[in-house]
Amino acid sequence: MVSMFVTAFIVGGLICVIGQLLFDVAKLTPAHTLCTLVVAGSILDGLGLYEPLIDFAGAGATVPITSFGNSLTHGAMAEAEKHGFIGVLTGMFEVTSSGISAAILFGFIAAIIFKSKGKV
Amino acid sequence: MDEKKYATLEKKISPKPQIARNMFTAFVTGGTICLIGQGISLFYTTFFDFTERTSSNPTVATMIFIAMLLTGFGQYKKIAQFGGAGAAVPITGFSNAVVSAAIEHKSEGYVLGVGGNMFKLAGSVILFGVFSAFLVALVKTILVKFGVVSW
Amino acid sequence: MEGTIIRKVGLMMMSIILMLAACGTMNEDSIQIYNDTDEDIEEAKQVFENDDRLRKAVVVLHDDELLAGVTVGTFERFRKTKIEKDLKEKLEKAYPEVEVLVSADNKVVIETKKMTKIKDQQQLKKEIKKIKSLSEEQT
Repeated sequence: MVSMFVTAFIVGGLICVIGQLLFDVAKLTPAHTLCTLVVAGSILDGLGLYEPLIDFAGAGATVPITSFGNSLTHGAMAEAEKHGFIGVLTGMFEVTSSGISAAILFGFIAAIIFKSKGKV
Repeated sequence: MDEKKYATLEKKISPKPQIARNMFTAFVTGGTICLIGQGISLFYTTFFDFTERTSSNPTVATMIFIAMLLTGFGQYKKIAQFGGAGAAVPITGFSNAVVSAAIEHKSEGYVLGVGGNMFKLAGSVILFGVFSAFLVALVKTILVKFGVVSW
Repeated sequence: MEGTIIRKVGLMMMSIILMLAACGTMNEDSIQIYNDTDEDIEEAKQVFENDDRLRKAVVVLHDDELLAGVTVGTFERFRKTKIEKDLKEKLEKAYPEVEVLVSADNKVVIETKKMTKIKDQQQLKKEIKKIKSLSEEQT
């Protein structure tokens, strides 16, 4: 139980350190870094390495943006296993729907409720 | 002065990022956010009918909600200033980008302002996520058809 | 200015780690089996005891269904799915007429432990079915 928290902290921190290195050393913008990490998560899932990481670290691997790439690929591969090539298209957003729907929904609700801060 | 001279001058004068310190703060911030996520996941597993695997769905939705509140009250930028990538890489950073763009462009109206600008950052992330997922799944399906790997 | 922030964060981290360490280790039996059929549970016990990747196991044997919740060690969690498959094969060989489900999921372990205290047959059957369908879920 406790070990889940420790591994979540360490793995989550490490993924963010990789992001920070992309910021500082490779001098990428935040948009570039996030896209790189999403693609990395997707490739890792294709190799079958990201799911064991989720088993090991729990939220430490599902909270960073890399899990987004992982769930897209995972859904696509799961459908392709059942339905062949067309499954690659139909299965993609099956698992990911909560993340995107939540972001869009809460973004809009926030725009309704909150006032713009204005100052820099 | 020409481009090369300007580039070398710019490199000499601009402050160097303290890489070690940034790495430490990113590690701590990212780790703490994931720790909170783990706690939320544990909450959903214990009190609702979610297994460890499926609890990632409500956990992500809850963290996006929390990030929305923090962004709306203007607190997330302090976390982002301290943590750098540690606040941008988790899903809360994604949510912060979407929500802050939505709030900022509210004055231009809901359809053109909020709707048109919400996906400034999210758009690229979704685009490359879908594209790479498509390629990876396609390659894997082809390899499976040829019998090189199995599912 | 920044030094104080780092000092505060460091202090918070130390206290969190100390609190977590103070929670301490949990004191439980390593294998719990609840059996109300006339199958022999010795083989199941052997399967779980011989596997030293496991930390705990809770097994419920009822009618023709076997539900096993196991807890694996920290670093073995990387191979969680493989361990589940291995155990399922071994148990299916030992009890061929029984429907076996092995899960290393925390939720399944907690629910299975709760099930060992249920005495009512009908409720037990319902619970087993519910847990089995839960662990099949993908999203």
